[in-house]
Amino acid sequence: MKSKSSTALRGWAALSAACALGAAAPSASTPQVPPPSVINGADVPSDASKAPTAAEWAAAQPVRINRGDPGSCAVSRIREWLRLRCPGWIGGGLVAGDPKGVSISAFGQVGEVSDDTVTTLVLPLSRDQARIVSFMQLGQEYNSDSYAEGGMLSVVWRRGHPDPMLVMSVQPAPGMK
Amino acid sequence: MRLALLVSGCLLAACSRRAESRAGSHDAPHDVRVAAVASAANAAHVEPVTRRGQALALLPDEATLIVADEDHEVLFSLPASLDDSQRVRVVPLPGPPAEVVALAGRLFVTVRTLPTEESRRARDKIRGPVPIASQVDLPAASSTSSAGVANSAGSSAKKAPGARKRNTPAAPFDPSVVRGSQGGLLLAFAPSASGELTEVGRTVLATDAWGLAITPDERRAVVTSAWSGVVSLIDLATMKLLASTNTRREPRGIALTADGKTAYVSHLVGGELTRLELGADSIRATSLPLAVAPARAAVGTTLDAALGYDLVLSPDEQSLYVPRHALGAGGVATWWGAPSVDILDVASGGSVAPARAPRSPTATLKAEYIRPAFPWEAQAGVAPSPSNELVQPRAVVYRKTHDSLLIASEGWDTLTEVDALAADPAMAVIRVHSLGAGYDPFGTFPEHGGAPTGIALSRDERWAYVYCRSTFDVIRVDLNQGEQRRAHLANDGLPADAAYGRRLFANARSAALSGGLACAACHPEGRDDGYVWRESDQGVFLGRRENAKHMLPTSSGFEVPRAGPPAILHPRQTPMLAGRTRANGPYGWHGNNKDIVERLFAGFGLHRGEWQGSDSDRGTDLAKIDYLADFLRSGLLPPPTLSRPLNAQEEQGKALFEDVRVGCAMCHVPATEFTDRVVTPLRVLEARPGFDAEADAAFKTPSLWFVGGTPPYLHDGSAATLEELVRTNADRMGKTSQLNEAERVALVAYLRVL
Repeated sequence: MKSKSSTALRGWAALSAACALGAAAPSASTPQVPPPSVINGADVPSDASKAPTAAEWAAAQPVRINRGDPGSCAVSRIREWLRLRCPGWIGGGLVAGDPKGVSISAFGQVGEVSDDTVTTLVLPLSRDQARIVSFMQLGQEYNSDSYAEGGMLSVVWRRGHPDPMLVMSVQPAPGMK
Repeated sequence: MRLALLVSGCLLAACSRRAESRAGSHDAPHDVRVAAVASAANAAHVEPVTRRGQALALLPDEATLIVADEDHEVLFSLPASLDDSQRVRVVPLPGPPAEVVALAGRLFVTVRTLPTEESRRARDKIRGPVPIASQVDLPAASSTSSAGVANSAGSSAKKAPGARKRNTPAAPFDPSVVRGSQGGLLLAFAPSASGELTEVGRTVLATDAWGLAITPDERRAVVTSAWSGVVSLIDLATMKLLASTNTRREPRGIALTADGKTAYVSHLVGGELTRLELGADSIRATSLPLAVAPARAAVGTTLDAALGYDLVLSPDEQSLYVPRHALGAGGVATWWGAPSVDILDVASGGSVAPARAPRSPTATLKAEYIRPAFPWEAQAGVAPSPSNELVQPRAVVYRKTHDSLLIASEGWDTLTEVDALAADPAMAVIRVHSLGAGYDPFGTFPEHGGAPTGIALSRDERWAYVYCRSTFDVIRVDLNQGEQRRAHLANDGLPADAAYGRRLFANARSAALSGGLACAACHPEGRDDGYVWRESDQGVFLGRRENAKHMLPTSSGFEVPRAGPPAILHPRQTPMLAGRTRANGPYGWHGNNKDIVERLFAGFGLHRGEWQGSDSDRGTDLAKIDYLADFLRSGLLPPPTLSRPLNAQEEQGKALFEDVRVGCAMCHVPATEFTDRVVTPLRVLEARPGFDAEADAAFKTPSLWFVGGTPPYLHDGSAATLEELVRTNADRMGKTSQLNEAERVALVAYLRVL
């Protein structure tokens, strides 16, 4: 079992607290960029479509997870497709739920985690379904690196609920073993 | 005016009886008590904070907190601000309380047992002195501590009553006496403005009355009787039992719908819930399966569960949350399983959490300097490691302003907030409030804030009050700021070494005892989890075959882990401990441990993951074992059982049991706890799916005390009921094949009352 710091805020509470502390008063000279919004279920088509192309993703509007901490992940949506692009994470996988349409990839330089190390998850948002995805980060040891738990994404779209619910939690970077 | 006189007269009458109530004098005239209860109910209605039972409750004005202290067998009434010692009251009860609900003008308490006279005397000795209100240690009015550092430490141990000197000799009790019960109780009290509590009514129920919930119209109560496996419906105006029904083993928590027509019941044993349909004077119970941590179950398999102490509905009643202990659940670094919060989608009756799929997409960055993962480490697509801070979930409340759950972790001494909107909230921890303080460097249990067992949440959801049972503290947690205030109610009344053992028994932090799990996880309240574990030939216990990683850690981080031989897994049904540990020995399924000290020492090595080391040292381990053994024999109370003469059928069963031609009593010797403790070769049973064939078929005769409440049976759990055990015995134990159906039924009837 993992041993966690036992007094800290976790997930969305930590994010909210950080936002509250760090948010600067809006400047008159700075153009206001509206924060990404959470996914509105009405905007998600019921009919299945082909997974978006790279070009489509490049132009996708960002969205926000409903609750928790997205870590370094940039979240976006095209039609019914959700993408998380997570720099610094070194892999992941579908823990549970329907694998249809789910893809995950991990790229980076061999030998070190650098700026171009990224794990990308794409999955279809499906009504009446739930999925759980885990991510990995690099663990540091005395004479090597290892795989460590990075985060967890829960996607639940319950029957009768208008919107999907995206909850994410992130593990702190592991210390040297 | 006449009504007022009647009420005050009733209260006086009830009050005058209170001193006797400890001795079981509960024969107050029924009409007198009914009048008092009814009159209290007619007071101007104020909405209660909750109608769900917990070990503690806020009165509707939120100025007073009531705490049910099972071990001292008292109620504490104290200011919710925890700062005015003048307002503390201690109310002795006729037996150990479990849960309390505070309505306007009325307070209801379940009492697990009304002991027999003989049991009463024995329990008084075990329990120690009754706490004294003036010695309850409240913090100064102005003091508030930051999270994790409560503020009445230091003085409490000197001030609070009941402390006994170290090395106080253990005082083993006779379980056959202590268990004696006249039934469980639902008590009704009328609280006064000054904080006095006056008993105004009671109902005798099936023994081990535990969970409590009041219907929204406040006319009826639902009570679970854990050991009896019974749920009861009580009319609160008359305090009459309206109906009762049998359920599966160990019904505990109750969640009632807003219309008062449906209730859900959790069970300490097994993965199913019970759904109750409540009629005007009837209960209909049906079993309600709820997948246990499906995201952690191997593909195509289902898991079992334990520790379903509590459950709660979401405010919209679309979700039912059940925190429990998912046995054999997979994930990073699991060997016994994981805590889970399983969600029932009430409309569909299905689980919100998804199941694992046969081929799930994964991706892993391969790099030269990232060593391959050991099987118990993080890997793509593997469920996360279990959260320590949820181990041994004991109580839960829903925090609607945040759509989160607050869960008391008995084993880790925490109040843990998780996201109620995640598929498995146990994987989405938001915040942890550490309640433990002053950790003992030797035992790794806290001096304060140990083993939280109940939660009361204020209306505005800013304050959570937590009762910590192993240290007898109430902690008020400011959920917004994280600050805590602590009141120490009493010291442990057990002999000091047994009190140490009590804390060890509940605490999951000691690496010597186990790999992240306390004794109380598999032996809740000293009973059993109804589960058949796997004892591997590599010297550890495992929840399921999937938990067997059978890989040995390599000495170098660069070395690719090597697969070892497949583990051989033998079935081991968890034995009940309470009331069964008086004998010197031998212990262990094969009688391979000469005494309880050696058995516990062996257990320290068994109860951990294959990869987990231990800070085990025989010298210090033996000291811990000494404390644990003292607790097992001097403090761990057996389940209460109804004291009554055997009926004709049971008498017939007893005669058969003792008949040398049947032979039960030859090994299960009645005079010695129904065991001769001899290791006897038995016919080998066919290996069950998921287990390997037993190499050694000679088993020590187990005690049959309390056997009626501990299914499944046999070392491999292959007999689901006593009926099946006797029916399929085929002369493997004794000679029962000649018994006709009526004789078998009689024999089982007798076994049930042992």
